[in-house]
Amino acid sequence: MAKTIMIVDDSASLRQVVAIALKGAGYEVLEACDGKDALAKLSGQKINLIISDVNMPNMDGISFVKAVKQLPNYKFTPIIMLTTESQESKKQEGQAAGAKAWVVKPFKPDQMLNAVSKLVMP
Amino acid sequence: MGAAATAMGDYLDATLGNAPRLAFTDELTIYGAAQAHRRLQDALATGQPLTLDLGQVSELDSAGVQLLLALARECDAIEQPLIITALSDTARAVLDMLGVTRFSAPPATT
Amino acid sequence: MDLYPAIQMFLAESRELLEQMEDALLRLEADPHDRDLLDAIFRAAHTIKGSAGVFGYDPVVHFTHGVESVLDRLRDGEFALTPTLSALLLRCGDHMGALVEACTASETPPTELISVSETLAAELAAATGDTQADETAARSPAEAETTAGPARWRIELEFGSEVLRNGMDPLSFLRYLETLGTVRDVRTSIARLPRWSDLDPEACALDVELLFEGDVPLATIDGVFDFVRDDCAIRITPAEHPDAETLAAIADYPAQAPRLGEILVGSQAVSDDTLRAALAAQSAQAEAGAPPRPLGEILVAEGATSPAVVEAALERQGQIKQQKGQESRLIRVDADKLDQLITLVGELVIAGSGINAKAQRAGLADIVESAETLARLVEGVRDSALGLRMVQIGPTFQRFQRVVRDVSRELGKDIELEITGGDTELDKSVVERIGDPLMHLVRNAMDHGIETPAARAAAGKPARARLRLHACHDSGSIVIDVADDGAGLNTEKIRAKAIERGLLAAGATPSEHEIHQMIFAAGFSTADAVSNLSGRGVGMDVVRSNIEALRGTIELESRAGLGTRVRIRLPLTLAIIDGFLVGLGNARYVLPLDVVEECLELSPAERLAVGKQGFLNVRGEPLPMLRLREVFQLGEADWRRENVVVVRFGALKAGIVVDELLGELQTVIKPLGKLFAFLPGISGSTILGTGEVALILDVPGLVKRADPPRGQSLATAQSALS
Repeated sequence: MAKTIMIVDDSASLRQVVAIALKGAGYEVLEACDGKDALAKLSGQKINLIISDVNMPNMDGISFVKAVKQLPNYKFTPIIMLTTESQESKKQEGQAAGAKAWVVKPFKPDQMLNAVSKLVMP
Repeated sequence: MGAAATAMGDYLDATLGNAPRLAFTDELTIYGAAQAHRRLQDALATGQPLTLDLGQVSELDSAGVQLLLALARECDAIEQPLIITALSDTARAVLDMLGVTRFSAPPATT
Repeated sequence: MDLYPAIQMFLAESRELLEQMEDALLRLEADPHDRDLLDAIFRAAHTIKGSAGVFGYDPVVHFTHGVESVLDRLRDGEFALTPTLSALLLRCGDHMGALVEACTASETPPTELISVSETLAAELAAATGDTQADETAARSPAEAETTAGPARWRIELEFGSEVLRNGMDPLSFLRYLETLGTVRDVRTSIARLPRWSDLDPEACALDVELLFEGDVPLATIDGVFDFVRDDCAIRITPAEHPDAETLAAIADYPAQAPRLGEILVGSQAVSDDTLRAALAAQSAQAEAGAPPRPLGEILVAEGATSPAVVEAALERQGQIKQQKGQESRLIRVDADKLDQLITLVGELVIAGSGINAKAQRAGLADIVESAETLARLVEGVRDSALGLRMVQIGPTFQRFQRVVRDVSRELGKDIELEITGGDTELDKSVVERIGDPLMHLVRNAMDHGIETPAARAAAGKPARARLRLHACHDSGSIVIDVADDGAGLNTEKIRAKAIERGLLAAGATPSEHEIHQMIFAAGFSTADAVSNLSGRGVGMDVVRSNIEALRGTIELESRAGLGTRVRIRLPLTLAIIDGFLVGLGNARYVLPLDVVEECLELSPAERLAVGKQGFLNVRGEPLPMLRLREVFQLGEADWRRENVVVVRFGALKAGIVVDELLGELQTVIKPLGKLFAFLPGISGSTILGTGEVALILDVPGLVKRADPPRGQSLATAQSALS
């Protein structure tokens, strides 16, 4: 059974690159463009990992993480936050909300793969 | 693969004499850990030897392993026998990975 | 990985974002504070930077980072969007576009573009008053380092309770480790897991231990656990095959017997027989007269164990010894930090009183209860904090042994110093300041009080004189006595001197006690020659003012031929007091609780009696009275009733007449400013829970000021009755 990773980011090109990298490593990928979109898509299928940007329109990353933690079927899913170097406080907020893993933007696809594989193997 | 929503889904209660026989199918993970704990608690409360069939476990995570270890410890403490009748490949692999040998090959059954 | 479609998407996205950014900047010219627009331009730059990074377009990333920072600060309101800045940002946007086009077309953009980047960046920095931003390297946690380490590691992990809830499964880390090398000897334990009926199934309490073999740097191995570092205890130690087990056992050796051989055997590094043989060899050497080699050396030489093991055992031995040594642990604390703590505790006390007062007034039962609990806890904290400053007076007393020995020899007298109550504790600052007065009293006693052995023999006293330093607690004060069994004060000499100095009228007939108190007068000294002991004739007046500066009192008792006792009383603490609040009209005063004995109501009849004779009959005893209104000249009371607070200090009792009795409180003493510092009768001020200021009464000082002769006659009245 393949592991499924959800990538939430408002940049379509970034999502696409990450998806390519992850699929290449053997994961299934589900894309969402912001928090609201992501929540709508978390509706029953098994998700093994969520990658989410912090800065997004409509629903920002922190709110999204908090919302996920309220969903009975997804509240224990590991979450990787995408932060920028200068946003230490966002990173702290994310951690406090329950997203304990992070990758700093800008990142190379290999770095993302590395972080992902620490949490879930394909 | 059951969806997460039915994790820790069904288990069969059958009786062999009065001994509780529990089977866990599907996932034995953190999502169903609380419920599993309660069910096992009920089984322990009967005071009878406990038979556990893990042959249909599709996914086992550390929470599940922790629960099993705790169960074994408790059974030792109250001197209530715990018998694992079957172990799925997944479960066995996970237990091996964590170095847990307590629940190794199922005993030769009569 | 075929990125072509993604690159196209990136291009399209970036163009669109840059258009949006330009649009927003233009609209911001009309309204430079529009929050949404400012957010939008930030996000545009942010997104472009992020996506460009994924593709590895570093020139875009580098330049955009600078723009993004400025936009972030802009939307935070750090500075305003001026037309100049706006124009500059527009040019930056254009440049970002150029960079994106160039990078997507070919990996390396032309150098002219790079220099434009630098120019613009400099202009941005200048416009925002900033030094240029540094190179941002993409950083994710734990990059590998260069040097590889030993191939074998022992990894011990204690996973924290939240890891499973956060989705971080220990199994994941094990699987990841397997991609870096070989994992073996995994052991999992639930030692920290609570009992079955008490455990939380979602909370993790797993300990995992393993051996890892792999040619990767330590940093990489450590980096595996970056995401759980905060929640877990992680220990990675080199495992030298085959001693890994032994070293672990040595490190865990219980903290008891610290003999090297015992540690080695106990950790199964060497067998019992091997150890015995080595010890035998050692003692054989000693008997042969040669200096014996260390046990560890012998064992290594015989190949019984490795140097690493011996070293580890010695280290553990040292650790255990150190632990033992630290059993009675003391800690040095900066006195200022302690004072800060006390001050804070003081504020806490006041705040607590405030809550209590308001709770009482509001009459909310459960809050009152909580407030009382709080008050109790605050009291505990207060006592603890003050206790930190308490030191024993013993060491101070002990210093006098030497002094007494040297001086008695110099004077040709035989004096023995007796110290009692050395374990009495007082505030550190008091101890520091009591040394000088004590020294003076001790020298006085030796110089003037105690007679020569010959004189003592003639008087039928033992040749060896006794000088006693005594300390104890008594009703909320510290009492320190300096007593001697010498000749006592020479009343006649003092009297004569007093008359000479005009302190006493020739025909006056004060009591002996009153005459004795005169030595406290300024500049008073009956010494015929100024001995080099008592210095420049610094007299008892200086001693007394030193003591009073500590809010203490000094009393003197002397009997001719028998000896003299000087008794110093000091408050237990200088900072916080338990007090009794009284009211006079609208004014509030605080009496230190430790001097308050009881409270009485004064009936109109009794008021009259007091007015006439200054005494009140209390249970058959006359109680000298002091009307605070008179003392502070507050005018007549318009209360029907007055109340009396009976205070006791030392042997004296008096009744202080006030209007209202307002109950107990604890509060912080705030010293009076320089202007008021020497006001007799007032020793400080404090702020009540209500915010009002209350003056703290100095009872002995009060009595003295109100009526000096009365202060004396209090003593007389008292002693007349005793």
